[in-house]
Amino acid sequence: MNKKQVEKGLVDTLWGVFSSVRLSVIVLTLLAVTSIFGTVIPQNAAANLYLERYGEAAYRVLHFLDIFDMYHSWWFQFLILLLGINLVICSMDRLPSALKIVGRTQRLNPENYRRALKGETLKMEGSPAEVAEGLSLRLKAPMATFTLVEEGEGQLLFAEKGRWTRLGVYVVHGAVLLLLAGGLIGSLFGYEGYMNITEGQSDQTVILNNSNATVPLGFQIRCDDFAVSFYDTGAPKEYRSDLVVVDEGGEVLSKRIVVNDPLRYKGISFYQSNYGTVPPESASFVFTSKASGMSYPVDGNFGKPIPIPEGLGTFTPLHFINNYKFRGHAVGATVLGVLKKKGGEEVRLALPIKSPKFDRMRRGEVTVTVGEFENRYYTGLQVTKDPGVWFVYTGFIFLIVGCYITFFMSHQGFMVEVTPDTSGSAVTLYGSVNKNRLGMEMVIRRLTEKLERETRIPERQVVK
Amino acid sequence: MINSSLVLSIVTFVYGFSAVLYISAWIFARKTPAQVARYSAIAGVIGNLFGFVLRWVESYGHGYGHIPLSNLYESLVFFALTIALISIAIGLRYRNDMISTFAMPLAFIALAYASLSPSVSDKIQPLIPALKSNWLTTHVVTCFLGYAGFATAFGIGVMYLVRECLPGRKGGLISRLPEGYVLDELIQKTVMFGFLFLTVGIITGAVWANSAWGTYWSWDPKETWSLITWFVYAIMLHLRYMRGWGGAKIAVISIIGFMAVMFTYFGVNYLPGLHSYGSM
Ligand code: HEM
Repeated sequence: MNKKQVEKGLVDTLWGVFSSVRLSVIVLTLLAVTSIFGTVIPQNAAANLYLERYGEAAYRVLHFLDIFDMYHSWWFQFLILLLGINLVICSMDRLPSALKIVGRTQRLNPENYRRALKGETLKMEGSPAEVAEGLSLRLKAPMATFTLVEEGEGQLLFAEKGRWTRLGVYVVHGAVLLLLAGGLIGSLFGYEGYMNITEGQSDQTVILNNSNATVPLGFQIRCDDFAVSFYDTGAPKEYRSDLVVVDEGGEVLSKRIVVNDPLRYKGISFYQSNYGTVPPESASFVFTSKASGMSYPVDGNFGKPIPIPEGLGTFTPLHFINNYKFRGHAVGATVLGVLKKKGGEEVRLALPIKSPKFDRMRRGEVTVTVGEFENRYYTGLQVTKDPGVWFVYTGFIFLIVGCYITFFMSHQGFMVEVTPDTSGSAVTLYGSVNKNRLGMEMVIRRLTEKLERETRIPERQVVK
Repeated sequence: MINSSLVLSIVTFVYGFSAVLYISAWIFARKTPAQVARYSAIAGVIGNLFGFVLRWVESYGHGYGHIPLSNLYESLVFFALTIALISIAIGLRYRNDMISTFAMPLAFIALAYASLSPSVSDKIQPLIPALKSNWLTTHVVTCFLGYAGFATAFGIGVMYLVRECLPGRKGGLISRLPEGYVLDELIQKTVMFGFLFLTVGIITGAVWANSAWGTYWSWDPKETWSLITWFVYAIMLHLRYMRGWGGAKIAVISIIGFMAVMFTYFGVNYLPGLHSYGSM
């Protein structure tokens, strides 16, 4: 063997491997089995969680195998790649012969049909030629247009339909390839991230989900308003944001988005995904003096000391906490601050917004309550760019159409044999099909029964 | 006062009655119980459908009308409906009541679990924002038609194994099952039906996820398990067509496939994820 032949041998072997259905069964099985891991082991969690759960040694092994982000691991991607190559080679291998079958002329070989499915033989009045003519009209609807062939004194009618349906499985496989291509394009040229925009403000950078890197949008998104509503049961009913796109200095688009109804602009989509409250920068506080019983509302900024009337010292609001825990009890939104008394002594205060009497329990010289403050929300937007999505959607359509064709349509051939008989003619129906023999059996049986019923009743006999 | 929970509890018993009759028709080789079984199964389906629609109407009475496909109870009700409907349809089409003999008990179990299990709440709840989408109906309906196809294939697969792998006397119980090749072909038919609908179900789910969260696929456990199920049946189709597998091997795969379906439906509830049937 010279070098060329060896190369040719190798190429043939590889071609054989990659065009085999055995490989695809193996790869699909591996994909199915390994996919299970990622559903039992939480994905993309923090390292210490895994360490706690699996211990040091197991953690190292699992980490090496990328099990903690397994659907993006090299070996999982490799399996998907194998599936893709397998599909391409397999289709290249078989498509030409499928096309040849679809393109060739109708087969008029009675022997092929005699070996296929056969109905019971019926007796009919009239010569074979007359009967064949009647049947070719009557059976055209369930079968197809007939070609007549004379065989001795008998007549043979041939019909064929659905030949193109043999291409359905290539539609299915092409669809799978489109899905893979779309996924690849998305992961190469798209991104996934988020933006938190406070009501009334704008932003133009996206923080990516898995790297915390930032990407500029190239335009600005402004959030004019955010609102959340609840059912009586307390379950959330709707989240919505009023967004405005500001591009090249002007407002180009505005949209009220809710979950399931995003804003799209220049190939980038903005989804309502969460929300939160922005800590206020200022608030008003009410100081009640124990000595005089007087109450004084005073406005102040966070971080700045507020002098308390009657010379009772100063109060500095420091933080606004959305969900504060006071001695293990959740007390809701709370202002934390420091009260500096006349003598210079400092006390840390927690002032839950919902319970204005809370500070009375301290029994101090002065009681502090939180009055009005500005309550602003920020809207949490999920931001994605995925140029592959159109490939995926096209693949979806092909997949459904292709499956329908392969599963519920078939390439069917029929032969009606009419031979001379003592009382006139004997008629037999034959059918052949590339799949679903049981279905074909039923069709032949039903049509035979129908013909028999109709020929038994004199006035509905074959038209002469 | 008639309400959907009551209607569906009654339907549970109708299904149970029908299942018992089908099985006794098989055991005692009688025609009459099979006919009664078929009529009660049809009555059950009508009742089941009525209960489904009534619940839909009732949800408007609560002030947040939505199609009843939003929690485990509602999905089980719909699942029972599809199993019963599909097995009756196949039985009529192939003029054989045996299919329902094995499928009707499944419909009964699904509805009994929904109606009687204390862990499944039949309260009508409002929709959380993520579920408010036109895709909810298409997604859930197609997924469950797929599941029901696979459930029927499972029933036929079991029947096949019983018939072909257990020694049976002539004229005995086992030999009264439909012939092996008929069952074999029916497994194929029902799996293809299931596969088409599961495909549409996964796709509508992906389109929905893309419209709600901006990604059509996020490897959430339920998504992944539906894909695993899809792979199992794709493997089965390939083995059958290209490697000539049939009979017992295919019957076994139809059983494995249905276990994957069941895990997609229930098992995933014990794993973290976005899908809401987890909250019983
Ligand atoms: C996720 C991936 C795949 C899916 C969903 C899929 C789906 C299908 C379906 C639905 C059929 C039709 C079966 C029937 O007629 O009932 C089929 C047939 C077939 N598949 Fe695949 N397939 C996949 C991957 C592959 C791969 C990688 C190969 C590569 C060898 C392959 C080779 C074939 C062949 C040769 C046929 C038979 C075609 C014929 O009838 O002429 N498939 N496939």
